[in-house]
Amino acid sequence: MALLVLAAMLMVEAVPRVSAVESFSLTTNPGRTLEGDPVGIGLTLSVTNAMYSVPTPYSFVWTVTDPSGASTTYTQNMVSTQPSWSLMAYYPTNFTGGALNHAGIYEISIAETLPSSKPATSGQFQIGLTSSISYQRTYPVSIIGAGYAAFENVTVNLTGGSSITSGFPTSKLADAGGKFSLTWYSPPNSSPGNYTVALTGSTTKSAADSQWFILYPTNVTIINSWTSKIIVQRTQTIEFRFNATYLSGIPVTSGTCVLNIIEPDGLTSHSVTALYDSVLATFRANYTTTLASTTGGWTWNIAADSLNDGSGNGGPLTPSSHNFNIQSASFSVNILSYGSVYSSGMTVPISADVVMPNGANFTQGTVTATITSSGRQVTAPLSLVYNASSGRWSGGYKVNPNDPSGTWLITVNANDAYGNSGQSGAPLNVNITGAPPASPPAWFMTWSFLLVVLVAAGIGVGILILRRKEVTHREVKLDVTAIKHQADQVKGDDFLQSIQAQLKKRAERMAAEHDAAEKEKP
Amino acid sequence: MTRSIAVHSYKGGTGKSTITANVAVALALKGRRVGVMDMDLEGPGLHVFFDIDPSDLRFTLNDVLAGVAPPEAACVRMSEKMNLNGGELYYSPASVRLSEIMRTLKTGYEVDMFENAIKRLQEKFGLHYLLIDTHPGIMHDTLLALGVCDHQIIVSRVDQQDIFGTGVLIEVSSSFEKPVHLVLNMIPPGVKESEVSKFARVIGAHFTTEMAGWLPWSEEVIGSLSRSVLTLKQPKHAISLRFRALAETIEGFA
Repeated sequence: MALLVLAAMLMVEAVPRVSAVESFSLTTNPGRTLEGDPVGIGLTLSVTNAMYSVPTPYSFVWTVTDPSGASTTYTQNMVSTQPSWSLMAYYPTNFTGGALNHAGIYEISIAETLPSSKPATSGQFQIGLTSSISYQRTYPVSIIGAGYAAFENVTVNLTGGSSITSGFPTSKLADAGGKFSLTWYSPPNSSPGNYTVALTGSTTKSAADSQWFILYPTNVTIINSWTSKIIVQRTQTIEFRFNATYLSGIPVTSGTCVLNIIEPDGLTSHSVTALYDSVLATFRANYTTTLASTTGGWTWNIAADSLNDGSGNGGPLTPSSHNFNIQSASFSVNILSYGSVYSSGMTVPISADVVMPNGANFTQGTVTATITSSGRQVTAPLSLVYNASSGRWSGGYKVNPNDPSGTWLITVNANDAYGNSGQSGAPLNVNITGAPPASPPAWFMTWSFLLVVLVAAGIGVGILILRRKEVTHREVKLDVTAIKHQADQVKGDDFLQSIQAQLKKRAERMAAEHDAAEKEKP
Repeated sequence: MTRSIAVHSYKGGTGKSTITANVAVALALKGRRVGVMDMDLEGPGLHVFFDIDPSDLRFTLNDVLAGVAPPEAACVRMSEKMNLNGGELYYSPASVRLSEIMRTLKTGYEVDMFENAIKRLQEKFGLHYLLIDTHPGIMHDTLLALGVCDHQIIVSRVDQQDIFGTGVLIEVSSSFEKPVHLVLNMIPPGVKESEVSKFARVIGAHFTTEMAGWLPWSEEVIGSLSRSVLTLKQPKHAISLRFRALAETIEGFA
């Protein structure tokens, strides 16, 4: 190098130099790093319009002054043969005595000493204690310190504004190289704003080891949305659940979220508020349908920024939508069974429980009873009346002498103005030849009457034994028409069609899986 | 290949669980590997037959359907306890805790969870048969579960109201295009087999179903108060022989 510089100086005498005014610029990479960063900062000096027509020696002195005021230097020489070129230096690697042990601004100044003596350029870089100078809540704040004595106990304090942050001050032991690290997970409800980290060890640093950063509220993202039932019958309650996480991935465990529930017309909306359920660890909300709820495809939506965790964090950034279907209510009708045989003059009580899909009694609507015998109506449909005290719909029919004997089928139909309905049937035995019970006459207890009763009883028992099988046979009679009619009603209902649609999809999926498996076979 | 068989009825009290427990044991006693799922989530009762203390259960089917436990974790191996002569019986109980029953009823379950549970148990335990005791009636979740099973057994009493509902149920279930089998239970004393057969023919003529068997009214079954499996306790009893016959019929299901 010395020979090269000497040769260049000799040539200066022989060839006149090209006079020039150089331009200098300095870049640092990165502009900020952490205390004790083993890679350090790369410094690049770019020179343009340099002297080059004859090889020209250049020399620069790099000076870095740390936040304590201590300076270290590095001298770099080169011979210019191009109009533009650059030089690089690494801090602290190239600077004897340099170190990244102080938080704050490091000033850089570069002076040209050859071919002339003049200031070239200056710049700065920053050394911090935290990985960033701004964070969103719940993101980890990584605190790193360096320049302490081996295994020195360092006190770390973190203050937000003027208040002490929970968990601080705390102590941390430096490692053998005098470095330590600590991670603070800011709680979702931590105060937003400026925070100051301050490190204090027994080693006295000539500059206070402290730095500030800003904490912002964070956003939330919705995950795992769930609908309790894809298909509900009117009056049933549907439950919506979902989980939310902060952008850092930490679950949201507090707050409320307003859900929009949209009717099939796409316009009419309802809203329910989902609350966080700490037992189930999920946000949940219920929507109870009514007998008048519109049937068809509904959606429930989580609009953008509809969730607030109660601490100022909100979201989601993008809305989401989920489907469910409301169908007409199918009432459960249970007719009180008949144990005795009815005869002419007796009133057949008709009493039925009509229960809505939500388990509550159906109390407002039309409930009628139809009495048929061998498929033919015995009488016009009878209106039943709801009795609030018993919770049942009731009425009665007085058996006429002209009514047919045999097994009657009482069918109770319940429906309302919105198209909800239910039906059930119950058989009863009617014997028109029998007489209704009457008041006993005066001769009731005479011996002759008792004799007649005994003979009649004997004949009755005999007939009963003889007809037992016939009675049994009658009990198991099938009213195929009524059954098919009822089954057709069920089959035609949206309720069953949705089941069949789901099963069809499943069958198609399985067939596709099977085909795929077959194709994979060698 | 495992056959999944749903045991269902229109009304409660038809002896569905009694038949499920006894037929499962009868199949296991023949050396088969049998699973039993108590899908009567609203009113589970099979644990009484199998003498299981619900407080001993860590997980139940409710947990499986909620996705919080794998199916095999909610399964009790009954083979040693019941001494099943080389057969295997795995029982998946439902929760008897009111809070969990309410939770399941409130939330329902996804049919995929149920189907996955069936598949998992079949694979895990190499089952020949999986009997599924359902909740009676024409309910959405139950019908969906029926549609997933390979066979449906509909149990009915010979009672006009029950038969009417059973007829409707058979008609509805047939639309799932899975074989539907009818079992008549609690046939009153005095009714001859020929009469039951005649009745079965009438049903067969009008509905898409086959008569899988019939069981007479049994004082012993009623007297046991559902606390034991008669097929195991009194294997020679006439009703036990009926359960075995029904098990053999099930073995013949295509």
